[in-house]
This record gives sequence, C-alpha cells and structure tokens, in this order.
Amino acid sequence: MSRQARARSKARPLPAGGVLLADGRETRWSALSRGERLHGWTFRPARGERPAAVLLCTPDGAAAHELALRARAAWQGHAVAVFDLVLCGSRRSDKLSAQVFDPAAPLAARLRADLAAQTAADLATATALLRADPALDAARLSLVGVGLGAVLAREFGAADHGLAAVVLEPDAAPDDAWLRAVAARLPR
Amino acid sequence: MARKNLGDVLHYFIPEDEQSEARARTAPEPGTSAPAGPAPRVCLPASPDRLLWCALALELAGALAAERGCARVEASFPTSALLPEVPGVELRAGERPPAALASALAAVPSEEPALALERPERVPELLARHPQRARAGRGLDALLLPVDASPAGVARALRMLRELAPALAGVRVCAWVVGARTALEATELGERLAAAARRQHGLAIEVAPALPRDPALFRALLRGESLHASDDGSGAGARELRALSRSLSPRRAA
Repeated sequence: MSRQARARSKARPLPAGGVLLADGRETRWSALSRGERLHGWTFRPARGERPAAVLLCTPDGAAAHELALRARAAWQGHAVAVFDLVLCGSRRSDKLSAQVFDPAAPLAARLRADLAAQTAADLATATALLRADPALDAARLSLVGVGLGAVLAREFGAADHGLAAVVLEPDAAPDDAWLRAVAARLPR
Repeated sequence: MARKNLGDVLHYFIPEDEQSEARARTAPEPGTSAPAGPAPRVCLPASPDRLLWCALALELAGALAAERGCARVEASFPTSALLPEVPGVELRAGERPPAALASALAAVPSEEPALALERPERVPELLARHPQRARAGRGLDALLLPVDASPAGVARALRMLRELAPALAGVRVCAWVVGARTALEATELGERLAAAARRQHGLAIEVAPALPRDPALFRALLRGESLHASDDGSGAGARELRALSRSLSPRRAA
C-alpha cells in the first residue's frame, strides 16, 4: 500500500455537515459549528505531499486579510488555512460586531462568554475538518492567532487539542521577523 | 416549446439588488476606448513585506496593460515568488538604489505605462532623481499611496505622508483606499485622510477610485492567480482597477 493510500485509509471522519472540495492547490471547506455554517479555505504549497498545516486566525478575524498572503510567503512548505471568525468577515453583523469587539461597550462583557464558546466550537470544527483532509498531515496541524484572532482563539488554544504548535500574538501588526520566528516553531 | 435550462430561470433565485450589482459590474464603461498620449508613470510606496500592495501594483499594471497593450513594473527589491503573473505585465525586480530605479524608469518607452515599487523611506530620493513629468518631460505622473481601510490604515498613511511631505511639493498624490466594506466607507476614509493631510502637512491629496474588500480577490491572490487571468473583465476588483488606471492617465497641461 502506498504512503498516500495508507494516509487516506487513516483519514478521520468529517465533522457534521463537513465538505471538502479540492481545486488545484486550494481546498474549500465547510462544516456546521453550533448550527452556524463555517466556510474556509486551505492553500497548499506548490511542492510537497501532505504538508503540515497552519490554521491562521487573522488580526481582524476575517479570512480575507493580508496576513494570510504574508504567512504563505513566510511559512514555505506549510499549508495555510483561514476562515471568518465569529462576527468577522462574511459573518460580520452591522448591528453586533462593532459593539461586541469594543471592550468599552456594555454588550461586549455580556456576550464575551458566548463569543468564546462559539469561537472554540468553530476552531474545534475547523481543526477536525483539516485533520480529515487527506491532502494534509493531520499530525502536524498548528494554530496561529494574531490580534483579534489571538484574543478570540485564546480559550481554545489554552486547552490541549493535540495541536503541534499554538502561537497567539496579541499585536495586530506583526513584522516579517515575527513570521520567521513562528516558522521556526512550526513542525517541519 | 423550447426547453429551458438552469441559466434561463436562475434570476428567479437571485435577489434583485445582487442582480443589479452584477449588471453594473459587467456593463460597458464610459470612455473605454484606447487612451491616447503618453502612458502614466506612477510610484507606489511599498516595502517588500507588504505583499498585498505589491500584488495589487501588479494587478493595476495589468489594468494599464489591458488599455495600452503592455505595462512595466520596476521594483527596487526582490519580490515574492507568490506574486501572480499578470498578462501583459513585465516585472523587473531586484535590490537596487533609487538612482538605478530612476534610470530604469527613464528607459521605459513613453507609450508603455510604468509603475515603480519603492520602499517608502527611499521615495524622496526617487522623486528627486525622477522628477515630475511636467518638469522633466519623462518623470512621474503621480504617487499612488495605498491606504488600509481602517482608522489604523489612515494613521499609517498620514505617518508616511509626514515623512514624504518635504519631497512631495508639486507632486500629484492619490490615496488608494483598499479593503473597505462599502463605497461609502472608502469615500469617508479617503476624505478623512485628505483633510488631515491638508491640515497637518499642507498637502493636497486626491482620492483615487477605491478597491473594496472582496474575498474572491484575496483567494485569487492566495492562489497566486492574477485577477486578469479571466479575460471577461468581470472578475473581482477588475472594474475598480480599470477605473483607477483611467484616473492615473497623465493630465494635459492647462
């Protein structure tokens, strides 16, 4: 049995409502998390079979963020996966988002626990889905959160989810030296 | 009776506002005939780590190439291998001082649009060596200043303008707001930047057509694909880039 076939046979089941659609070096994925549908993308490097993967939570919580581009350039050999965190990007709410992420707003304190619970569920779903992707190495999955992404991922990152590395950086504008330092901590 | 396919009835399932938006995106634009006169020469301040700015500079050059047949991007630093190959655009990148970049720009034929990617801290020297077209005949037409669509992005742009202000006398400066959620947000941020630049640094800033946040655009860039790879002109950001490229054409002397 080839290495790839062995890896496929060990592939884990998809989470509820999970879908993986591979298109070249990109995989679109989607799954249900506490009744909400998550949509994410994984971008694999041009070379290498079953690369290690990094789930990236961006500084403003949206998948469409420049940091994803910079991470792809800096973490060569790794796949980078992104999705919109709760109330960010395509999940943004004109009514709620600004208030929920403003620590001075009264609503922020009231909804903090629910926000953390939804984010933890989202990240659990996303990691399960990435581990089920036969194109990735499930044993070498890491989590990197930056800015708001780090704040939202803090609770999930603090627990043991069998991730190869967890890096949370509250500074919303990390420089290239930081990206290189993270690359050194990621599993080869 | 003729049989119908899915395309004939799809519009029943798409909201009216999305349909009109799609029609607006694909409708022919005014003044799309091939432009005449000298091609624009634009400097875009960006450091090598601002991959998005570098990628968007290439895409803007792609829009200019669609109008003029070809375009050149001259970068004063090595660029990432992730940057897309844009049809009609020749990228020349490598570590070099502003003087060498100015020489490279001067060597570009006048009918070929050219964008210079230079580190912000070196832009004053580039402007000094490659002055405005009005003064030198073959100089730069504009400084295109990319602005992240956020209060922090406006603050960053103002800091950059503070550093560049002494070198910007008589230079056309255009603020390019990138990533706003709505056109209104982009306009407000651009106007806020222009007012602050006038008040704080005495600079007159034009607000260039903005590039709204579009997940499809980001995904294309993450795949390393050009927005101009699909040639129907309706791709993510393509219309906005065309509007920007038209606005950058050199102005006739009054």
